[in-house]
Amino acid sequence: MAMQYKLLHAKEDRPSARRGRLQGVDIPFLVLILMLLAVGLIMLYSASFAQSEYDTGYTSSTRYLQKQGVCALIGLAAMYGFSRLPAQLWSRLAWIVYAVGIALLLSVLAFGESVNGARRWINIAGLQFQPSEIAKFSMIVLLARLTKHYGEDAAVFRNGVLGFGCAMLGLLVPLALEKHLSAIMLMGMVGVVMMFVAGTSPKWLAAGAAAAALFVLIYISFMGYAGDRVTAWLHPEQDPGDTGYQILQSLYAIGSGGLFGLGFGKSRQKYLYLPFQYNDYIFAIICEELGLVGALLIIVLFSAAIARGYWIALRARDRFSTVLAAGLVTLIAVQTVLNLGVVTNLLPSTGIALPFFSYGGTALAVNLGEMGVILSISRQRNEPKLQEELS
Amino acid sequence: MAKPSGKKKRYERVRANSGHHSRILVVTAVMAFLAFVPVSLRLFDLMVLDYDYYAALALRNQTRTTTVSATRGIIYDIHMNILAGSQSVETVYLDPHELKQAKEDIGEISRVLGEILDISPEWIAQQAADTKMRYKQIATAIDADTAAHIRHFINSEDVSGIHLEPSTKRFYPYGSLASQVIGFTNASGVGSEGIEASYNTFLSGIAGKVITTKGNNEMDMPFSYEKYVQSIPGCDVVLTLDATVQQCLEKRMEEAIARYDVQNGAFGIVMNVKTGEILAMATLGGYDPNAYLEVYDAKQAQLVEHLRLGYLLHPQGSEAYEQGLQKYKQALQNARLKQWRNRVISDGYEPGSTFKVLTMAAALDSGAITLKNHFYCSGSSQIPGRAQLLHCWRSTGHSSQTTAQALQNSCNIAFANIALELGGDRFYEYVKNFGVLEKTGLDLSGESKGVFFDKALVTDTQKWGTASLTSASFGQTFKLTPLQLVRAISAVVNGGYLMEPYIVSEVLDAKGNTVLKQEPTVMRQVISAETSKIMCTLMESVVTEGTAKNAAVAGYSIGGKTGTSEKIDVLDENGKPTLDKIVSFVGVAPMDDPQYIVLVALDTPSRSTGIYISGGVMAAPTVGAVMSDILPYLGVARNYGAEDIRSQSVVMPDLTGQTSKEATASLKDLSLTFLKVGQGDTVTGQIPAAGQSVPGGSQVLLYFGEPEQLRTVKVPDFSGMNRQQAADAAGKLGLYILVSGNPSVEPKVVVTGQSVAAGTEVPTGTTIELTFADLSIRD
Repeated sequence: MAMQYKLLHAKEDRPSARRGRLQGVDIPFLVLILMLLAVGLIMLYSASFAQSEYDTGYTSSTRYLQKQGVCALIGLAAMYGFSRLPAQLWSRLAWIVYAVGIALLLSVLAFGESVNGARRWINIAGLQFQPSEIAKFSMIVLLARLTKHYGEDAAVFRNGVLGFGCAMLGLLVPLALEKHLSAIMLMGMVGVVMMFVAGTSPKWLAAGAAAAALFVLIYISFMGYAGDRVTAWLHPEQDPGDTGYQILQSLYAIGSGGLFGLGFGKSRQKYLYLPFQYNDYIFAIICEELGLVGALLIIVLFSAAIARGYWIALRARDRFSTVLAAGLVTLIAVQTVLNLGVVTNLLPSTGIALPFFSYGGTALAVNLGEMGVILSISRQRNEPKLQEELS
Repeated sequence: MAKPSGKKKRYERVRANSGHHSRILVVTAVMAFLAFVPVSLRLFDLMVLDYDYYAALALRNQTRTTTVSATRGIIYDIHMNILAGSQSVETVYLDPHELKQAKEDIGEISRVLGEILDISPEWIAQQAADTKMRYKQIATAIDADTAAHIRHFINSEDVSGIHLEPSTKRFYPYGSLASQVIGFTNASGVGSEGIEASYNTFLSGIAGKVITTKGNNEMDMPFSYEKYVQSIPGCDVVLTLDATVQQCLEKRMEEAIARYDVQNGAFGIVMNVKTGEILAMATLGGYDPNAYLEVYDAKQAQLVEHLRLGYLLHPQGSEAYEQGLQKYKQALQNARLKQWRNRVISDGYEPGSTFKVLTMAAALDSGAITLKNHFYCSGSSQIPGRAQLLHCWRSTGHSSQTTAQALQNSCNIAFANIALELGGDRFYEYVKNFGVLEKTGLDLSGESKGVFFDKALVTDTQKWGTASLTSASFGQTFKLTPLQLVRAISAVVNGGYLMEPYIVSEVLDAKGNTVLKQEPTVMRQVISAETSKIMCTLMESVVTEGTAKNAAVAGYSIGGKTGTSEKIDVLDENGKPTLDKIVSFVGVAPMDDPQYIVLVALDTPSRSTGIYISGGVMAAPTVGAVMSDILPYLGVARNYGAEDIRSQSVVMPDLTGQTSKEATASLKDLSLTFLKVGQGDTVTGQIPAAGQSVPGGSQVLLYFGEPEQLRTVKVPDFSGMNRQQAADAAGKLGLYILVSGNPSVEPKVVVTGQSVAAGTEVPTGTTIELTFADLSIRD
């Protein structure tokens, strides 16, 4: 017994010995995230400089890179900070975070800035800020907290469906009022994955998916404009100047990249042909410049980071950390897959950004902060459990 | 709780995770791997399998083709004078994006540019407001002065966003000269009308291209795809037209239009009878191709302006406004089409008596008549097979005439009889061979052919009577184009050969290599060389003896035929024929070896001048004047007969210092005599001064031992004086007269023009050229 204890301890002490600046975090995951961030910033510069020149009247090619760079620094600071906080802190703060998330969403409805007819931004001290990013985090934290709370009972309907469902609806309703469809979809999918991990029976999830599909069908048949979107998705060439324009330009960019691409910085579609070339559609420019080889390498990076993230979840010290890490990784994974699907026209167009690549300061900073939380979980995996965790 | 043991902890951890373990593995498999499979396959599909398709679409999407216009070829006359060329001009455009970036004062810029370019400042401001654009053209084809003006403004005010770029503009150095033949290029630089249109493919060259990738707002890319296709400059076209001959023709026609108050313009042509080369082709009532949209005819312009002001009276959008606008546009278009029309090739007209040349040539050639035939004219005649009594223009009749006299007198009754001798079948065959039924094949677009009788109407006289045949014989009730007539008459005098006329002699590429060269083309022989010779003699007799005496030019043998035709198909507002007339004369010279044919037709001379309206009175002297200008220029030898001496001018030599005897000898060579003034031994003064022209046979004043007494006199109005009266009037004032036009000294031949206007002060001894014509000639 004692022997075993010692051995265990000795084993657990080894990471502690590595305690330095990295605090024993999972190095492969950290490296993968930093690689994604570095490649992301470089490609953002390439994809945005023509637009930047145009928007600044040919005075600056780095307008978007600069803003994104600042947010990356903020995000890295958040990542470092969160990686040092114990993950269990979020369990205690879960309801508060959740309340903040709802409050922020409601405040958007009240004071938000309207962009393209949808209110999604609020201004804090002159800085634009997208609260839905916080809302996503708050949902994941609360669902993880509930998983821990329900414990072995997470699978029963009252908890596994109603409990989780109500928690999600608390955020999804204000988002629906914002008409923030892409966030609803994203959070819905992340929530479903988390419920699955938490233990909710797949039959309920399947029923939920069927209900969602039905809802989408009704939605499409009642909303004419969404119907147009479907036509634009399936037959973009029917209206190349208007509804099909965005996706056709994206396909031109991707297809003309070929195996090895036109070369870094040499995209032509970014010269104002492809709208949103530096945020939602940045991957099309990557394909054009780096070709299939470059695009697949980036996909491999994402795939590796996501896999490693789930590996961290698997090895997390407690149930809360496991579900939290799985949720956060799933958030990145779903965004990535949906973005790539839209850009390649496998899915109809929605406004989902590519993590670490697309222009968008809030998303980048929050994503990096979330990676900090995962790193914190990875750091804890060999540490003794805190007293309260066991209670 | 007690401090947990290691076993407890591990248990707890396994407990904590065991429920999730397999589920996380499923999620990992799906989210980290499976989810990326469709996207990866899709990428492979797009980027490898469909690469060619998308690469092509992308390139088409991203490239702009800029046309590099080819230099348009030059149109030259036969002596390589430029008739149409391209001039360097500049285009002004704004870069609204740049203007906005530089925060320029749009109001001020619009005002200044509007002033310099004479366009509305509001419009310029509108163009400048489109700030996403980088190219807004605001003026094209501005000249160097205006461009300098704009450059000065840009530099002095340091304005960014206004740019100039070079381009070309078509220009026509001779203005309205031969405008319908040369044509013009439209706003997009494509030849419209005339040579510019018919030879557009040669002149235009092939535009080059620059294919280059451009951003969606036309911005340049640092890494772009570029491809150049060199432009091929247009070919130059050398015409057979001679600008000098054209100028002579147009000048004389303009004089005639003014003198006879011609209402509806005039047309004329000068052609080489042996080759078919067109030396000049004019339609007056024309336009200046440098500004082809303007309406040049004063009456038409007034009508158009009247309609324009008319519709503007109505409120915009009202029915009256729209109708008025349509009327105005229609009138404007009609006026333009009329002035652009080349009547020489496009419009048929009734040739009248000029056609008798062909009838007679046919009759002589076929043997139907000989020179020995006689034709009787009593003033009117009942022609068999013709219902109406046929009247001759001379109601008292020509009594008995020889064949030659029939032509000289232009007697319709004689010609009706000649046609009956010839018969419808032969007549129709000759008419056909003379090319009256077909286009001439001139290499100029817009050619039409006349309207002739159906064959049966002329040939089947049993059924249709002889009215058509006889009317046709003297050139009435059908139409042909001036060019068709001139070609047919050329065949009559050139030995019988019908030529294909041409106006382009050569097409040269930019390096000067000949691309196309036209040679004379004989279509067929219509009459024998002998008949042709006879016809030359007969036509010359029309000028020397007949209705065309006014066409005579001293020193040249000229032949021809006059014509006056009523425009039977032009009706007045009551539906009655207007009796408007086209008077014409077709002349050939020199008759011993015909080289050039000149036709001038004046459309509707006004009755108000009081001058008798006929080809002999109006068109013949005009053609004579053209001949007297162009024959010396074209190098046709002049042979003065004894009677022509007064029509030939000689240059007064300097006789100072010569004795009376020496002076007599010097002047004799020049056919001059002198009157001696003073008692000295040698000449000390002379009138006219050395170097001045004096008519042959004149008497000059030589002063011996005393200075000449120079004084100035007022030139009298000679018009209406006959030869004797004019000589007396000039002699009294110490002026000399040089005779041109009708050489006859008969009293009915009177002055119709003088080279120095009445009332001008001139020194004594000045020579004044007087044009004589017989205004009583009928044809």
